[in-house]
Amino acid sequence: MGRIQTLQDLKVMLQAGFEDNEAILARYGLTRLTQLKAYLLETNYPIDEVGCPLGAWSSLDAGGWYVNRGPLSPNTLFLDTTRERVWILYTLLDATEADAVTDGWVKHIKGLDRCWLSRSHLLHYDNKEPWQQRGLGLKFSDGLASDDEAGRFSLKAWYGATEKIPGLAEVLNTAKESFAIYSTRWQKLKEDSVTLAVEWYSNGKVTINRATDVDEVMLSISDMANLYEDALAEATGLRNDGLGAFELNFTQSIDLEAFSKTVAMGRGRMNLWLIETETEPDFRRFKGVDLHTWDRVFLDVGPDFAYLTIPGKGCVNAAPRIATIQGEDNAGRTSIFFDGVEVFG
Amino acid sequence: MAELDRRIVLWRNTIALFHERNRPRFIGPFRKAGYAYRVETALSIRRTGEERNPDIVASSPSGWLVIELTCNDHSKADKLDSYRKIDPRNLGLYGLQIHQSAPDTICSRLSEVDDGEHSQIIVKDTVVVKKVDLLSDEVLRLALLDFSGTDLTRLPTIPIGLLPESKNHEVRRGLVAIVMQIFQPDSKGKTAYQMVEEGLDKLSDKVGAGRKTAMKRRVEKEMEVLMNHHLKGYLELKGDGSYVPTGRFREHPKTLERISSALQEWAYTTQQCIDPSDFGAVEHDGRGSEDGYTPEDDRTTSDPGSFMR
Repeated sequence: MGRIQTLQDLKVMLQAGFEDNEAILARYGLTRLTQLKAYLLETNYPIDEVGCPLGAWSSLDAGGWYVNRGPLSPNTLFLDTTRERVWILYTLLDATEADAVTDGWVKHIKGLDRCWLSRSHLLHYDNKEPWQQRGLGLKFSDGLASDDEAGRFSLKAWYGATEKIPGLAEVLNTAKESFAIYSTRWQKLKEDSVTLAVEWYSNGKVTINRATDVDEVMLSISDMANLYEDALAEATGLRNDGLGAFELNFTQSIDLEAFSKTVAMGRGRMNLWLIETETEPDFRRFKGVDLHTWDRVFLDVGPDFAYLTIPGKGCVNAAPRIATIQGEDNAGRTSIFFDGVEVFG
Repeated sequence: MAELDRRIVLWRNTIALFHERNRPRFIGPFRKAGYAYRVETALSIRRTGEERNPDIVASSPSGWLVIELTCNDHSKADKLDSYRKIDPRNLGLYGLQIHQSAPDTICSRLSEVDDGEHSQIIVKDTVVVKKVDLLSDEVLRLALLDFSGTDLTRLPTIPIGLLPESKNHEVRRGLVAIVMQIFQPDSKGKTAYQMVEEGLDKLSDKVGAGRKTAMKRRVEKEMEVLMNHHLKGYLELKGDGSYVPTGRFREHPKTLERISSALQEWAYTTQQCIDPSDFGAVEHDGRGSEDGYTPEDDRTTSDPGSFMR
């Protein structure tokens, strides 16, 4: 495949990869080629203010589509900026490199963030006719506890073989209700054949495990981007129309003392730098900044809930990010509500 | 309740009555009665067009209302009387449902004061409702009666950090997160005026330039204490009036913890200030005629700087 200059070139290249993978799968029973990955990114800026993580962006023929050029791994990143708030970064880099490139880009560009998929997003295909759930990943790091006392939990279960173990389904259901889901695996069937197999992650990444039609792949990823963009618009409207707060509900009790110590130093995966402003045995108020964007956040935390207030024009993407990371780190299954109605779902 | 945050608590506990929470379960009476609210509304008196700026205006399918929030111990009867003449046809400007009738008028306070023939909600630790029989909206009346006695101590913080009437220690508390933002990488810093705008949040458009100037001066005083004492060596004032981190600042957990600790002491522990007369100070300046928010204050209170009227 030569230099990619048009959206059609990109599709042809991806389609060839899918077909080669299917041929290898049919022959050897597993895929060998690097799988397509995509990352949903939340942005507050136009492309010319954000730059490219590998080289420089060059426009494809289709409006809003870019490819990276330059000496470092050219023609490996493809960016769809056709939406205002959610971009899609496609890549065929291997997982380690692709994750590092994306993480580095998001970390260094203020105003660029991942899309943090809620449980509802991750289970979006549940009970939708052509889709079957094929697995899920659960995570609980117990990040506020000391290493000796941490009750960590991590599980990745692929449905199929696991269904042959009596009682395992109940265990999975119990764990699913208590801990945060960080990935779900789905397959789409047409006439009993798998046409698409994907794994979505809570940090907005998707891996295409199998596919037969590039348009079907891109449409499915675009649908998730649209869902997320709608959720962002809804949450921004709620924030702008009043003085209300987002409510996070947890399944695990938070150690408030440990939380307070962690956020005072701006440490931990939550990336919050907060000052405790009111202390009750089972309720604390905090004010400070979200170190990811340096937007102000106010957080009122109870044993199994938190109220998140985002003053000014602070980005509401903080709500799903804090919910997702805190859920996986120390709070278990986390849901976001506004006035009793689930949002980002 | 500490005297320090009375005004913010009054706003927080009143705003919460329009919202709903799962944990602990809480449905505000205005929410229950189907009211949507706005806090930035400029409305006008029917026929004369005189402007009125009630603190909160809200509307539902069954009625509409205005709420006056005050920590002042003087009656708000006159002001609330004038709100009855507001032309409801302009509610549509704020996306609120339009009615033909006069609004229900409510005064929200932290302690009881006679506000004449107007309903009253006392929103200190537990809510108390008074004179609800004056409400024309039966749905709201029942919701308020049902809500009486509910605990209000653990409600979400509101985004407003500063009010025009904030005193020195309240200014410090309102500035904490705004000051923390100054330490972001490649920070251009913030001026005292920017801090005022950010602290006022959604009230910013309602507060006139004169009052903002007075607030700016209070912010400068408190920032001077912070810069020269608690965060000495970490924060400096540039010639253009912006507060910026010094070269000594490095984004490191120990440094962030040190700054957290200093800010906590500045805002929540000590009350060190340059001029002891600032304690409990009431601002008499900055209330020029361009401030559409203040003239009525002067007519209804002996406290001329009172934002809460």
